[in-house]
Amino acid sequence: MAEILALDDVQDATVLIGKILSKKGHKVHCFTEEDKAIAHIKENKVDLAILDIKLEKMSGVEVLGLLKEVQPSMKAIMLTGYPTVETAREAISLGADEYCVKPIDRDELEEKVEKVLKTRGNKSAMSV
Amino acid sequence: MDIKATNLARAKIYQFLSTLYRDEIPLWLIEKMGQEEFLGKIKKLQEVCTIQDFCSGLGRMRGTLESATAGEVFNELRYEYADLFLNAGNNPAFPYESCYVSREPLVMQEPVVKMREVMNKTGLHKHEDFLDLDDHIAAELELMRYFAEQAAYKGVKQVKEFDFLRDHLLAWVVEFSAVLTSAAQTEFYRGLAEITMSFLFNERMFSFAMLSEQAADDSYAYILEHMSEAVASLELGDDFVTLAEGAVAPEKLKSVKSHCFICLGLCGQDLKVKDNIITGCKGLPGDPKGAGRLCIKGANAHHNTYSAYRLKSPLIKENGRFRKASWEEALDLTVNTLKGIDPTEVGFHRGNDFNNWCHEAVMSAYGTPNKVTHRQMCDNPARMANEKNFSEKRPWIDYEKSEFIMLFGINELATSAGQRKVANLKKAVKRGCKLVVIDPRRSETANIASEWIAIKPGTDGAMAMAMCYVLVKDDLYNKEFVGEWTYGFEDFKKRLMGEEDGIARTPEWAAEICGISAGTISRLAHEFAIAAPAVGVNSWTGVTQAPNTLHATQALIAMNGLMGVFDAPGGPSIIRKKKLASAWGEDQAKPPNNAPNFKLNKGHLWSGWIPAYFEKDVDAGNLKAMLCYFGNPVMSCGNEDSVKRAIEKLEFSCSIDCYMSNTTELCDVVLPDCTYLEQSRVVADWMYESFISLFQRAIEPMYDSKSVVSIFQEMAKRFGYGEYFTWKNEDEFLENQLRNQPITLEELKKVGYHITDEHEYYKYKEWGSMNPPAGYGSSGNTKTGKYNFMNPLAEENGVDGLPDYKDPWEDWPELEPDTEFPMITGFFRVIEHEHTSTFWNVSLMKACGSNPVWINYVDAKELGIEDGDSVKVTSPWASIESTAKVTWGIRQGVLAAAGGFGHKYGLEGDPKYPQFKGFNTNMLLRPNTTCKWTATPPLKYIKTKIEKI
Repeated sequence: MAEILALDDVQDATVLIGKILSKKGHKVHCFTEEDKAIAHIKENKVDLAILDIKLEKMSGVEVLGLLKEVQPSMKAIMLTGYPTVETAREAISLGADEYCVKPIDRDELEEKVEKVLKTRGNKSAMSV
Repeated sequence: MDIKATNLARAKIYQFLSTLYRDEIPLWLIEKMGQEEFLGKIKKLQEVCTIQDFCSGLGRMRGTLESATAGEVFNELRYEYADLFLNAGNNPAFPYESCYVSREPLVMQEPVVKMREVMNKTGLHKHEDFLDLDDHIAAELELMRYFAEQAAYKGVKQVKEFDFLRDHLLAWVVEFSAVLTSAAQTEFYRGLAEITMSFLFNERMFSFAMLSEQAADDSYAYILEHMSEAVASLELGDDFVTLAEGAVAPEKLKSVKSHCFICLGLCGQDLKVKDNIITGCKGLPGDPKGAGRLCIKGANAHHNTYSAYRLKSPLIKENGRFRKASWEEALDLTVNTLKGIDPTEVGFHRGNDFNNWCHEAVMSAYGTPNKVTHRQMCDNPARMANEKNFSEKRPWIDYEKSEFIMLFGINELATSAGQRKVANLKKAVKRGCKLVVIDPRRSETANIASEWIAIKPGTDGAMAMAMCYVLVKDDLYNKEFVGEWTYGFEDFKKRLMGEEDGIARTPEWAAEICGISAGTISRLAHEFAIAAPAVGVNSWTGVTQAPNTLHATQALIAMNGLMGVFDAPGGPSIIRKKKLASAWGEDQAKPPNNAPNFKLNKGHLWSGWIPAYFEKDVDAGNLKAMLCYFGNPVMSCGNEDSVKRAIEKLEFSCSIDCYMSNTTELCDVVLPDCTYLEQSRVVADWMYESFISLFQRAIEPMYDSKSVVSIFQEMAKRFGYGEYFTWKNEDEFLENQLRNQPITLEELKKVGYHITDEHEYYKYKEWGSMNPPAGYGSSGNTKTGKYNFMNPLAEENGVDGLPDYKDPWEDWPELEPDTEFPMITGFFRVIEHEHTSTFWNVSLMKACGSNPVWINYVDAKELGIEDGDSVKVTSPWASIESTAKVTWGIRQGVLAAAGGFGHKYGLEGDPKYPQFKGFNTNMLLRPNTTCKWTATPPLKYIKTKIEKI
């Protein structure tokens, strides 16, 4: 069982992620606000963060950078409808492990979460 | 558009993208893309396109196409293609799914297996003419085209197609596009990355719509319609290029018995190969070199082969940049240019001896006398001493039975030369054998030793002479052996006792020079004598890579001679190898040797081409061209900048290599070699037993690479000597070489090795000579048939041939440390790397990816340097920046860093992996400087200073 942080400004999306992954036995902490997600990671161990790239106050990529500062070994899956190459570059350089396309596909999300959590270390760092 | 038209439109776009990635973009296609029919449609599409990256990508692509003539665009893009996709540049965009599974530059991983499964189930296989890999982006995009056409024409359900899209392309396209955008220098390839990523994400949305039986998004349908119309104007044809019809069942798992060719160890390897993919690498049980063991390099040897940095195609340099070339063009250019140059002005530099009988013969027929190997910058002083004083360059000690071992400047645990020997050494130490390691640095071997003697660099000869003095003076030596089996003892004795020059080589004399107390030297000599004959002294590059160490090596090996311990149980071995027959058959004509007896450089004893003098020779007009095979002279054979300048000043240079390197990048032509796992050879080897060792090809040559024999056969044809190099395949020359052996090639393939002679002691007594008998060989030959204290070659040349200590700066006063440059700097070997050849292997780089400078704790304290500080190391000739590793494990006044680092390409050079970075200590060398006795550059004797920055 993993501690998972889900952040999306659309509450329905976080609820869906929570439902899918809770059934798999994970503990999912859902947030719609960036500040609360950041406050959570400062106090709690997070194995995996699932972050929407498009948030209200800042971008998911910025949040990823802040979360990684607190817990560098945390893994991350970015959620996106249409990523741009620029956001992809930033996210990869910050250590995002996977991308997941919105709307969320249950099988894809389950597979990617399992794959990311199974990998012992983070994916190799790559500066692009 | 109806669904059929939609799928055909999708197929067209997949075909377009696949074509652009598959190869350099041909001129005809660039011309067509530059025409109004295409550009007009693109422009129109761009005006209404609402998908950000797709629109931006079209703009970038159009910008390039409109910026210059088709010919100019073609040239620019082919240089870019070589940099990005053929590894001519240092920041490649690996076009393989495998590289993004772990974000490591490693190909032929699980995605290839999965891709083959999908192709097989679809009734397809990779096209034989497509020399790139199964999970190349062009192949995956073309497979999507196939699926889309099948859906359009045959109404095939699209679940499998969309699963493939999700599981493969979408699993890596984000990262690939990010890498490509970051690495590309042209707007064209940046645009292509944007279009690719954007298109595939929209395809994913399209798949959602199709799977839920809804209509596609209107804006996407518009893009499909208009983009496919634009692509149709390019007339890309109907053929599939990366895929071919017909399912091909995967080959079963097999075991290939071979040997490692990364270091000189040559340990046996058992390679697991499935469907032409090496899946693992283990030691070959029973093999005399490894005894079933492999070091980290050997266990990861296939990651050299599967490094994503491999060179894939011949390259030709134009306008300072590389472009792809055909073998015909590249070989014609190379040979025609060399034919126009006097062969005595051409240097052939080879870094390894894989099937050297072939390339040596081709270059001899061509007529160059300037052939050089790695030998000079390695252990040439030891070889020149041992190969003339007895019969073998490296008299490995029989550790299994040793009671006392002295190792001067040889870090067995990291150097290995055979994992069985290393294991034997560890076992010996464990059972109580005394191991004394003489090394300025506390090496891994020193760590397990009974005593670590932190000697001053370059002074091993003094310590060894003093030990010999004690053995003789105290009457401890083996008079019977010395009387019957040695030559030159009386002269040697006179030197030891100071009868020549009034300076007796006493422990007190040595202590002043080498910084080891007279008491320690004397005690060790006594212990050595008491433990004889189960004792041995040996040395390696820790000694030899300082100037004037020929005599030092003679001095320390003379201890073995004084005690008569050669070939004793526990002593240094006399080596014999059962000679192979010629690669040329009985009825096959051998090529002529047209090389004149000409020596480009002459030293006190060694003569020939001395690459440390490369720049001097080029400046003097003595060298005009170079052919380099599997070598990196820029990084290894002298001052790096000086050798670089030398190659840049040549009229022509060609490199045959697996990877782009600091040397290869300077060459006019680059020919892609394959790794040893893709070609075969057989050698006569030795490790206590004499045996025949097969290096068996495990997989077919990758990409458009060729085996070294194939390359030189092609060169021979062009030189006009093709009739002498006619083997049709590897088996033909291997069978020729084995025709005098008690085992056939077929039998050898099953087992990998064959022992011809078991381990025996005191073989020379039976032979009546220190030289092996007829039918056997070794690397040297003693003219007297005895062990020579007096080096016969030196004696013939009228120069000093007796063991001794000579100041390292005797011939080069500039090398002597002084108050401004008080430290001595050198490099050391680490188990993870072999010279400069393993820095494209991510597994090894992850194990050792940088080389901090070791500095003694006291020195660091005095200089205000703390562990991890950034430091600048400066010699009178250059400076480098690095990080300090503060340790007690190195003698005061000495700096050292792991060797082989400092690459501009591969993991060190790639900006994607900034965590891997080191420097080359050879940058600090004095240019055009080498030991005048042996031509070995002073790689481990560089005077320097260090400061915190």
